[in-house]
Amino acid sequence: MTRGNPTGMRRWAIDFATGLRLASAGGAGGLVRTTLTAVAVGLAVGLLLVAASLPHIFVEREARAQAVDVPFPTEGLEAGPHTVLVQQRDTRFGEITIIGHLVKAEGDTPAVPAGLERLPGPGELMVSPALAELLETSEGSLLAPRLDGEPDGLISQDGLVGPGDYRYYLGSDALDLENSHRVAQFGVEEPGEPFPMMLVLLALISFTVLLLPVAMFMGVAARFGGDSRDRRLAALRLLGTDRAMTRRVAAGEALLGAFAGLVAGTVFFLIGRRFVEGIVLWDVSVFVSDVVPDPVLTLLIVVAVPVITVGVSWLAMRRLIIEPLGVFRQAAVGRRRLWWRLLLPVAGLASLVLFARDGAFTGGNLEQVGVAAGVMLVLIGAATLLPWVLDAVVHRIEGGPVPWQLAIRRLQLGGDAAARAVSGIAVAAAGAVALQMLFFGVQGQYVTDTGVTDGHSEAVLQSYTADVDPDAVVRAVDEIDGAETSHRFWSLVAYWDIEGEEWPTAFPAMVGECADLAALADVTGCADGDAFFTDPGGYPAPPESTTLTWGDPALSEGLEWTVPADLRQVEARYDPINGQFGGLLLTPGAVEPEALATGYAQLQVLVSDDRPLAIEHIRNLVEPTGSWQPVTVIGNEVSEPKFDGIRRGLLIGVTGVMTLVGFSLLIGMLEQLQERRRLLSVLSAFGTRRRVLGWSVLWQVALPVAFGLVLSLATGTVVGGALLTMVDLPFAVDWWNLAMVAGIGAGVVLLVTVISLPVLWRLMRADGIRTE
Amino acid sequence: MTTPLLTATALHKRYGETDALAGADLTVTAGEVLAIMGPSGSGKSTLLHCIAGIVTPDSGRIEYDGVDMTAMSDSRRSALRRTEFGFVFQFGQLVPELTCLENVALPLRMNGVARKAAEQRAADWLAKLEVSDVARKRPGQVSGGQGQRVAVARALVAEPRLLFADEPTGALDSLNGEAVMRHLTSAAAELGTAVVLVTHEARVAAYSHREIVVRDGRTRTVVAAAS
Amino acid sequence: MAIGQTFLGLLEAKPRHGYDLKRAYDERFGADRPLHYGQVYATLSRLLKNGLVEVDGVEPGEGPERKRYAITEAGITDVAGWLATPEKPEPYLQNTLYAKVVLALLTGRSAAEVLDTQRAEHLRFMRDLTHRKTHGDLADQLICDFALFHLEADLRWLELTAARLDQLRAEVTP
Repeated sequence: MTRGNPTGMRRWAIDFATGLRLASAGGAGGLVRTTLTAVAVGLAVGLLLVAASLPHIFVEREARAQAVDVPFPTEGLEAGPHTVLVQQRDTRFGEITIIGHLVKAEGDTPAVPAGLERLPGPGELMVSPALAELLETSEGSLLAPRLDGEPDGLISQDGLVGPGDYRYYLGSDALDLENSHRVAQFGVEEPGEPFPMMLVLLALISFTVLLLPVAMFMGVAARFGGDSRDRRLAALRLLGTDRAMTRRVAAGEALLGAFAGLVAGTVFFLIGRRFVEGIVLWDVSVFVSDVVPDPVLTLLIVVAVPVITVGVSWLAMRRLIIEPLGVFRQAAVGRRRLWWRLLLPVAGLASLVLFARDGAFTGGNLEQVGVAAGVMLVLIGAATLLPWVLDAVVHRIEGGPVPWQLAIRRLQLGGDAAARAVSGIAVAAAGAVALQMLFFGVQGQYVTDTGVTDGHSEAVLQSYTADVDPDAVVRAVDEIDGAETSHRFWSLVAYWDIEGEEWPTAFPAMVGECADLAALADVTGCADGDAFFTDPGGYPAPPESTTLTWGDPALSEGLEWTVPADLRQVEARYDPINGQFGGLLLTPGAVEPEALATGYAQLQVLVSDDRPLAIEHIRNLVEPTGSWQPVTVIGNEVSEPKFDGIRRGLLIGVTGVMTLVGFSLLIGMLEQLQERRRLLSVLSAFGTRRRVLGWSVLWQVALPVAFGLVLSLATGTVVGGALLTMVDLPFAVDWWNLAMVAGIGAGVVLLVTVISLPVLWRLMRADGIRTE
Repeated sequence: MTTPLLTATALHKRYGETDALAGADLTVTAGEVLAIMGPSGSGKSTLLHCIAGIVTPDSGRIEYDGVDMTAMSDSRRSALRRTEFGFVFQFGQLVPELTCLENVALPLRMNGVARKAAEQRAADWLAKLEVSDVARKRPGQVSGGQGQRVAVARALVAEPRLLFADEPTGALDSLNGEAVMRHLTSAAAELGTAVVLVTHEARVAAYSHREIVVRDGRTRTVVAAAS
Repeated sequence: MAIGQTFLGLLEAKPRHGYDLKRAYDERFGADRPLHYGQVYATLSRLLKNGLVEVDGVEPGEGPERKRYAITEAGITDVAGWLATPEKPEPYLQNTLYAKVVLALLTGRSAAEVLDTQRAEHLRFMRDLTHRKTHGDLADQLICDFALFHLEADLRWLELTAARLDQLRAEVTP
């Protein structure tokens, strides 16, 4: 090797090391620069590690979901030493779905459900930790009557799909083949319930929305303090480094940030991972121990992140010519071109339209990729369009007061940096708006569909069979504070066996007093003995004198009903529970009492929203009997608490990203002010009011952010609309959330300005003018 | 005997451990060109900053038009600088994003003159200083001499009674420096504007009517003996 | 170069013999052109005749070198007047100006004042030239600029000397 002139790998290593040393020796500025880069890269790495953990999460959840599933009844399964009788006894508590099973061993060595050491004996109650916690609360004690007492033990992680699972096994000796079914083992082989489609979609978009601004921020961070870095590099050129060496030294500097970012990202991931068990979306929760990054993907991250970081910093340098005597910027490449900037969002929209036509999204792999790509393209498109829009608008603005003029002129000349920083806002805000629209749409659906808005929820009690005493239940329900039975029906089905048809035509029938029927249709003039027919779908009523059979014709014991001559066709009314009912509406006098035994009882109970616990009392009343289905509740309250949490999370995320963007704007502003300290003190000498320069700083920050927000709110609304269409929801704009996002943007602007002002005031003092 | 426009007496100013001014006196009469000379670090710029109301002296009195400037509030002094004074510095005084024309119009606009009117007057001034051709250019695109002439136009556009020029030719070669001084003094004379000129160059100071020397923070007024 | 005033300045510091005077003069101002004895005694007799110096005492023996000279009141006034009057700004003034500064230091007068007076005179002259230049044609301008550049060089020298007065004082005063 030639003395003093190392070549090849050694040369590279030396150059990289020089860069690393320069970056760490850059003083306070260098430290801030490296820290910000590390934070930006760290956030990206943290997110990527979460994404890399998804496969493991899916696999583990799936395995446990199969393990806890109870097999379907098997024909001809005989009682044996391992067999167990199982009755599913799910219930709800407020918004929580609780999966419960009553079990009874038929032999000495019964099968044991996953997560338990042995099958619970009669009266023995095993619960999941989440359920145990709920039972400990004062409200939770209301649940105890349904579970038959205190828990005797906990289900371990093997028997739970997620940490937020509410699940119990209760030993019972009151089971027989009439009310339960026999299984030989717990757990199934076939795949269980797939991850909710909406969650897959949300995860895809969330990662896109979060990763993109972070990537943009990395780009901005790579340019922090770029000027002083460039001067350092120029100084190196004077010492005899060539262009390639300069680039390697710059790469070395970037690598420091990348490595720091990898460390920071790991820390973020490890910290964030600990909070994962507290997150429940659509009843899905994840164990900390499931959040393990895939090794191959992790390796990919570790390799790709430094490469990307170096790439970004080289990209930032592409128009720089670093010469020994200084740094030159190649003339800007003409006017910004519009066509390729439009190409991205248009391609993205096309992709969304292709995959998102009216509920076309079913979750196939190709569709997932298509949607993710579409969203990504539209969002990146917003980011690439922003500089063009800013440029175009700013160049058309003329006039205005002095501060405005100063800000506009500044943006005309040096709007690039601002546009770059703000494109992060554009992506984050657009993504947030899109996601919020999706949530808003889903929520809106619940609210509008129930139609229950007047301070009440409606509880629906349905028995399994007719073998119940509705009168007694009504009496008991009405004694509960805040609950009042509003309507009671018998729900039946009548069949019309038409000659030549393979299947009989079914007519649902509701039997109730005139006042109750009035809830389902316009039955003006109703009297006992009347019969009505409604059909919102336009099906014809059975012709007069036709003979219908009650119940399943296969089981029918000849309980028949003849269509009377005075069957009146009436208008159906919308009812929150039954919707637009179509079928027969009969007063008790119009049907033989024996026929009622073929149906089941349906009670509708109004529950005051002031007494939400009344619902639990109703459940305690009917569910433990085993004759009534789990009580369902329809009302305003259904969805809101759940979505508030998500919205809050989204807003926090957006605020975080915008704060990052604010940071880069702030750094840019402070760098710019420092650079112009002389000019500032000269202007101050001229008697320029602080107010004038303060406003110009505000405008200079506010204008790009405002454009970014307008553009992103528009983009977000379009993407959100596409997503809503994809899941078959009506288009609806959540103005309040748009205002929130815009408000956060305004807050960032104000914050950056407020922090910049003291520096501005300080620089406006005369010191900067002193030449001696 | 002409009345003094500005009188400074016994100015003291300390920056940290060093006395920038240690008893400086000075009088500016209306319409005159006064050169403040002295070696580097003698305090001549500090003196200029004090009498221009940019810096408040630790002690001493500065009377402008019969009013003590040291007792004025910051905003009063700013207003004074905006309306009564003009400034030319060595370099870096033009706002780089604004065109030369807009730079010249800036003081007028800050005094509330409408944009059109301000730019019209600014254009007149550029013509007077023979730099009309750079009106639409930005400061970064013009030569040093042109830039200084634009700065002179900006300093005079609001027709101040007092122009402060701190090394106005410091960054220029002789030819351009001479041109700037010629334009500056003749335009000021036309307006009746008094000029306080800080310089260490004798040839620049030679454009003055009278000079004072600052040495170690003290002023020395020397009247040449008639010979 | 005013030998007379220089002698007066040297004598004001302390009375000297003629031989001493020549040596002191040669040392400080003569550089490569020492004075002839004839020049020394001719000057001294002129100063005596004008009453600016007097014979302070005579050593035993013969010859003019035995006489010790001292400055008179009239002599002191003459030196003061000379120091206070700026030289007409012209090229190659340095010798005279330098002598003035040194003598001011030697006689305890303000050397800075000497320099300031001179610079004021220089500037006055430069002002005139500048005025002529701004109102003249190109030829005038070029001629005036020639003078201005030279005067500026002098002024720089004055400035530099003013900045080094303390150093100079330490060297010339024992």
